[in-house]
Amino acid sequence: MSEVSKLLLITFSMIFTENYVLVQFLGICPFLGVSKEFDSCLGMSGAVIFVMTLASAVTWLVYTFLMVPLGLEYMSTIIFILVIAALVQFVEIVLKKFIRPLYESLGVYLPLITTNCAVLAVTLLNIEEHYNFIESVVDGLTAGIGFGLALILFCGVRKALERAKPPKPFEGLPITLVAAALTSMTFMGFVGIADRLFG
Amino acid sequence: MKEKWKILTNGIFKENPVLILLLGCCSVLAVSVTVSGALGMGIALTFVLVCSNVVISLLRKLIPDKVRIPCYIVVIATFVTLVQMVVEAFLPELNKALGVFLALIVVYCIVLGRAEMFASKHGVVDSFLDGLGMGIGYTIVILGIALVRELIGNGTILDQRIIPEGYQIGIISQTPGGFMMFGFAIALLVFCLGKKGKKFDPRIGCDGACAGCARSCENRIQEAPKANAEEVKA
Amino acid sequence: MKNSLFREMIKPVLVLTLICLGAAALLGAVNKVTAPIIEENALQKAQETRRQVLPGAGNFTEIDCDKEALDITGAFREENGLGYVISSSHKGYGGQVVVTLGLSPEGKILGISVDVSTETTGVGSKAGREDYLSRYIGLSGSADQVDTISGATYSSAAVKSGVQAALAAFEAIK
Repeated sequence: MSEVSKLLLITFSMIFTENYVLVQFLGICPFLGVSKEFDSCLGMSGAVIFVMTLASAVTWLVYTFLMVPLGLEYMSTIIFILVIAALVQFVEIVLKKFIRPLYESLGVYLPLITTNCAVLAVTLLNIEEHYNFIESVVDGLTAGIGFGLALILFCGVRKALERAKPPKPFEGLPITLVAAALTSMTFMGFVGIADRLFG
Repeated sequence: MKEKWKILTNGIFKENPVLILLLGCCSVLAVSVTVSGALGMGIALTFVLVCSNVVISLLRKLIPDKVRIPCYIVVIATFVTLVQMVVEAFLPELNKALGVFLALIVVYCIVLGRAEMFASKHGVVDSFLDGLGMGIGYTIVILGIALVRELIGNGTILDQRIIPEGYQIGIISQTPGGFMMFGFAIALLVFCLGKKGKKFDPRIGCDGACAGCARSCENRIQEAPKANAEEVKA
Repeated sequence: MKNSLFREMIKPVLVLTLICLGAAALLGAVNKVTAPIIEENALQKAQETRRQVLPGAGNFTEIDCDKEALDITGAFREENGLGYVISSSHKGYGGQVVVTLGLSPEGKILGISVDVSTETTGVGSKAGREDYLSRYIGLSGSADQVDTISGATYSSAAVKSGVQAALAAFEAIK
C-alpha cells in the first residue's frame, strides 16, 4: 500500500469507520457532557483537534528519540500522560500570551482535555500501530476531526431531543444515551464504503 | 466500626461511581462486552484505586498543595503501568480483551477524583476502604451490564453457550448496544428509586458526565494545574 | 524569607522529583521481572501457532527477506523440510487480523490459523471459525475462489488478503 493511500485510509477510518466516539468509545465523557450547546461543541472540537495533533507529534518524538534509546518503552503510559498534561498547560500559556482570540474561544475547554481519554489513547495507539511521524500526526489530526464531527452531529440530535417526550425514567441522560446508540449505528454503515474504497 | 462499614458501602450504593456519580463511562461502555473482560477491568481498577488511595493518603502531609495534581497523576500512572505489566505477563488473554482501556485507567476521573476528594483528606484505613468500596461498586455495575450484553449479544456467559447460535442479537455487543444498555441501566435505576419515592436526576452534580464533573472538580482544584506547568515539565 | 522560599519553590519540586524517582524505581524493578516473561510468552505463542498450522513440525528457522515489500510479518522454514510457515497482518473491522499459513514445500496450504481477537465480538469472529478457514486448506497459488462471508465482510476480506499475501510471498522466497 502506498504512503498516500495509507494516509487516506487512516483519514477515512479515523473520521468514519473507527470514529473514536461513536465506534471505539473513547472520549465519551466530553461527548455527553459538552454536546448541549452548539457553541461549546465547536470550542471543544477545536481544542481537541489542536491538542490531539500536537500531542501525537510530541509523544511520537519523545518515544522515538528519548524512550526507545533509553529502553523505557514500558513507561509509555506514565510519560505520555505527563507530556500531555504539560503540553496542555504550555498551549494554554502560549495562547493566552500571543493568540488572544483563539484563547478566548478554546481556553475554557483546554483544562478538560488532560482527562479526555481520547487524547491519551491516540498517542498510545500511534505507537502500537507502528506509525511513522507523518502517519502519527495525520492520525491525531483526523481522530480529532472525527471527534468533532461526532460532537457536532450529536449536538443537533440533542436539540431535537429537547422537544421529545420520553417515558419518565428515560428523561435526561438515559434517552441521550439511547440517541447516541442510534447515532453510532449510522456510523456502522461506513464500513462497507471503506471496504469498496480501500479493499 | 459502623463508620468504617459506611465508608465501604458508600461506594457500592449511595455514591456508586458508575450509576450515581457517572464517572468513567468510556470504560463501562467499551469493556462491558464480555463478562470475563468486565471482571478483569473491575479488578484492575479496584487495585489501582486502592493502591493510589493508600499511597496518596500516606503522602498527603508531605505533598505540597501546589504540585498535588501532578503528584497524584504520577502515583496513579505508576500503579496503572504496574497493572499493565503484570497483566501482560501473566494474563495475556485479558490484556488483549482490555486493549488500550487498561492504560486509560490513568485518565478516569474516578481515580483522580477519589484522590482529590477523599484520600487527600482522610487517613490510610479510611482511604483504603473508600477505594475498595468504589472499586467494588464499579465492578458490580460493569459486570451487570456485561452479563446482559454478552447473553443477548453473543448468546454466551463466560463463553458458555446459553442461547443457541443464530438467535443472538449481535448489535447489543457492538457500540450502539453499549450506549443503549447503559442508558437502560440508568433508566432502571431512576425507575426503581422513583418507586421508592426518591427522586434521582442523573444530570445532577455531574451534568450527566465526567466532563461536567471534571469541571466541577477542576473548580475546586483550579489553581493547581495552572501554576504547575513548569514543575510538570521539570 | 528563606523558609518561605524553601516552602514555595524548592519543596514542591523536590517532592515531585522524589515521587517520580520512586515511581521509576518501582516500575523498573517490576519490569525486570515481567519483561522476560512477556517475551517468553510471545515466543512460545508464535512457536505454538507455527506448529499448529504445520502438523508434525519440529523447529523453525526464520527466512531472511524483505518483509515490508512482501507485505508479511514473518516467514519460517521447517528444519526437517516439512514446509514453510508465513504470517501476515491486515486491517479488519476493528483491528489487525493476523493470519498464519502453513505451506507444504510445493506451496499447498496445509493449515491456517487466524487471530481475530481484536475484532468486534460477533462480527469478526465468524471469519475465524473452522468452517470458513477450512475452505482455504488445500489451495495453492491463489485464493481467489474463496468468497468473503456476509456479516463479516471486512474481517474475512482481511483473512483473504492475508492468505493472498502469504501465497505471493511464498512464490518469492521458496
